[in-house]
Amino acid sequence: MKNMALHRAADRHGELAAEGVHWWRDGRRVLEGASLKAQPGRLLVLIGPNGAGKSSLLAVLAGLGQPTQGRATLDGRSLANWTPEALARRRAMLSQQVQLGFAFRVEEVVRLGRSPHGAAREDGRDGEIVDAALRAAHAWSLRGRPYPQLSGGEKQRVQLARVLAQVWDARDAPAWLLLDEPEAGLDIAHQHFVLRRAQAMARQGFGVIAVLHDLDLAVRYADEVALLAQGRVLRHGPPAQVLDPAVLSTAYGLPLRRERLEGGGWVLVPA
Amino acid sequence: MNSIVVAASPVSRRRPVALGALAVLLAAAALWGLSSGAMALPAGRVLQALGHWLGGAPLDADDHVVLMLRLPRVLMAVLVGAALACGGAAMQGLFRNPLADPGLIGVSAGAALGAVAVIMLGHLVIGRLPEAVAPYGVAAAAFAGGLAATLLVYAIGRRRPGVATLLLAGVAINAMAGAAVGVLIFLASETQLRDITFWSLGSLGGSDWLRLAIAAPPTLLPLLLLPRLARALNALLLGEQEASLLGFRPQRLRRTLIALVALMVGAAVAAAGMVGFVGLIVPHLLRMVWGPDHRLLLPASALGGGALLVAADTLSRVVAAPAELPIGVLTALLGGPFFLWLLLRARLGEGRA
Amino acid sequence: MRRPGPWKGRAAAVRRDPARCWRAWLAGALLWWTPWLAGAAVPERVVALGGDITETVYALDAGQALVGVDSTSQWPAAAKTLPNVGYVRQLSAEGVLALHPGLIIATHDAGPATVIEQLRSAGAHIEVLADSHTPEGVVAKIRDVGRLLGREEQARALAVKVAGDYAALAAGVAAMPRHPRTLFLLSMGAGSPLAAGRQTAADSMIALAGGRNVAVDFSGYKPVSPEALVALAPDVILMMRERSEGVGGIEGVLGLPGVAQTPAGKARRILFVDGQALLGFGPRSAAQALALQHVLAGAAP
Repeated sequence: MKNMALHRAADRHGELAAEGVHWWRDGRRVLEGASLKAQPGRLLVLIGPNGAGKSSLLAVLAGLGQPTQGRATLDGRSLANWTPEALARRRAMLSQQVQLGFAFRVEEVVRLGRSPHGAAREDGRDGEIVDAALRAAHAWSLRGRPYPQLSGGEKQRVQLARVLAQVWDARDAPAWLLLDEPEAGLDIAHQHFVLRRAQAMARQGFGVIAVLHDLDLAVRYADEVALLAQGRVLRHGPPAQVLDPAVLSTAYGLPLRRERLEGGGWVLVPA
Repeated sequence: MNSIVVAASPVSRRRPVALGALAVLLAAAALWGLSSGAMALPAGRVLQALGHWLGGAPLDADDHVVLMLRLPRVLMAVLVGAALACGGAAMQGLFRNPLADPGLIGVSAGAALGAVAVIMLGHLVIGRLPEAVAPYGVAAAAFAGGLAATLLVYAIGRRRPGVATLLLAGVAINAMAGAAVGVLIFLASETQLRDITFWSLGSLGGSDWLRLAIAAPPTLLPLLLLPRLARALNALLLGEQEASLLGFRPQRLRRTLIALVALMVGAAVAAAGMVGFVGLIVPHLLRMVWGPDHRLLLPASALGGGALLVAADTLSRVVAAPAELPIGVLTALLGGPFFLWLLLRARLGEGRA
Repeated sequence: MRRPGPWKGRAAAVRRDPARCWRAWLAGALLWWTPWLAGAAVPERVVALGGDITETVYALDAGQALVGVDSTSQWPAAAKTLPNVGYVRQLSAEGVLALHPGLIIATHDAGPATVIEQLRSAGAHIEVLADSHTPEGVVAKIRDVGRLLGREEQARALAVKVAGDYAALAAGVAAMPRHPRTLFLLSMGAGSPLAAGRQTAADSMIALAGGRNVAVDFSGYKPVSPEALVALAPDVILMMRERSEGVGGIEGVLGLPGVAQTPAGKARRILFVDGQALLGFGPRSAAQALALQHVLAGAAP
């Protein structure tokens, strides 16, 4: 028995999962039995119409809310049993809206991502990680500037750098990056840049889950796609399978069809 | 762009320089405070008095003025100024608003209600207080009133997530306490009215070693504990959700912050009455110079607030000597225009505010 | 810097620990001041805290000994030229000590209490007099100040005169067939005037001078509306002479809403009194009250 339990736990090492999650938030039912298993090393994209529960599911997976029923687990262990500090060293989340009115400099904001790792010296290892994260998020050139003076897209890149810095050096176990609409407010070049970065992180062994509105970005970058509607995960699988025009047309309430692109690949357009 | 430019060096390198400079400023202010007053004593005489004290030599009358009147008063000014400024910095972090004031959580208004109630009704409640105990009654009631109002604000504010409810509860409790004070003022006699007026203008007069000893624990404890929350406060500037994602516990942090600030500001108001602007202006100014990182801001505010209040108190003792100007008048008189100047010069919210 | 007083003599009693030496200070101070309490010479460098104390000091012809007063000491004019240590309930220990006082005479509510305590423990000789809002209190105060200043002779003469005035006052009041309804109004700004209710100096003084205060439904000074003014129906309205110009004299007061409809307004019985002299319970107040009593006696409609 004991051996089997150990074996099972080892199986789930690195896995981030939601198990039959129901969640009432502010008197509204946002998740109704959502289940999802995500493995590190892959970029999982959550799609679905407005109010489908994508951000709520991401929040539950991040440990931000206590589900009314069901649970979220990391390494097979319920998130409720993780200390906030330990959890913060294993997963980072880029939120949709981060308001920061105080004039931290860009590198100081990114350094906040190192908070879970203790009061380390600035010029030591943390400094190197901050620099690397700034480069990785295309925010290196913003160093020294007061955060409130940045444009919306610049702020988004700085926040991404902060999130990357938080789990940059997770070594003993795969870390998770949860991105809630990371492309929001970015120009087209930076949209693709951010998703390429997410893909690259997944290749390095990170688990990455991103909520996206742009189905074409999902088509192009996702290793897996999960389609949500009405607080439930309807489908979860490879993009070609989940992004089925018939299923999507029902989910979104808008007739969609695939349009083949020259040189391979396809996009979804209104029928 | 902001015209106050700062080297973009990391906080760990800025910290010793900044805190060192402020400590020197505080020491200079304290020396000025010790060597100024209605009695003309040269600085050398002041140092001699300190020497007598430390060396155990017999004290004469001038020594007495320095050691019994000025020294406890200067130290009290340091404590009160440090508590107000550091508490202000913490509240601005908690509310994520550089214009927040310790009064937002109701502690000042509650303290005012407590003090005014005892000035007005103390003799009814506690029987006719002996004159020697009465002033402590006012201070104790101010302290208790501040804590009670804060507790009420917190109890209401915690019912919903985020600081908005807390803020609005603070506004409502402030208004209610203000109305209650208004009723008491309406009922006050001429003498009580003048007592209330002077209390609300603030004063460090009457500071002695005993009062200092009473005020020290509730101000020093938060002053020492708050800097330990600096990293959490930094994270909190991103919002409660981000702080939580970064591994902090925002609910617990909020509770701790409010408790510590209520303790220190309640004690400061009890010791010195209403002294405005210190909690707002000191952290604000320091943030403009050294940025918003609380690891530097909290201790810097304590030192800077102490220095400012010692200087203001010294000025209040000197300008109208042998009478004293209420210190709250001075801080508002100096702080108001200075704040406006900052506002116009730095364009709040855009610069390093 | 030289100052009067036995500083050096007591210094030896003082040791390192400040808290421990207070008692020694106090004991030394008391011992040293004993001869003065016996009343031999006029002390030098007197600080008077309270308008009534200052008036009494001047009335005893000891004004030249004063080196400082508080902000309520507005009479005589000479008092206003002396260093001012601030409001009598918000004193500063060092401010008073800076005047190097040989004797501090304080009214009963001088404060704050900690400052009085600080002055004591600094070795200053401070005498806090008893509450004196009665004729007996005023006479006792004159004697007390006289004793402290070594002016017993003058004090006795003044006390006899003041006591005589109060006796005449009491006799006059007793002879009044009727006590006119009286109202004391204060400070006409933009809003309603403030009327003196119970527990005010004006209330005591009205009673003393044979009037009957009509504003008995509240204590302290409270604003009264024009309607309330008419309803109170005073036969006489008293106001501070210090403010008469501000309100435009009798005509100005009569022009205020409600005043003309009162018996006092109809008969033009608006009386300006010297507030400081009458309400300060100093040596002048007996004569002032007597003068007021004469007016009130004649005011009975």
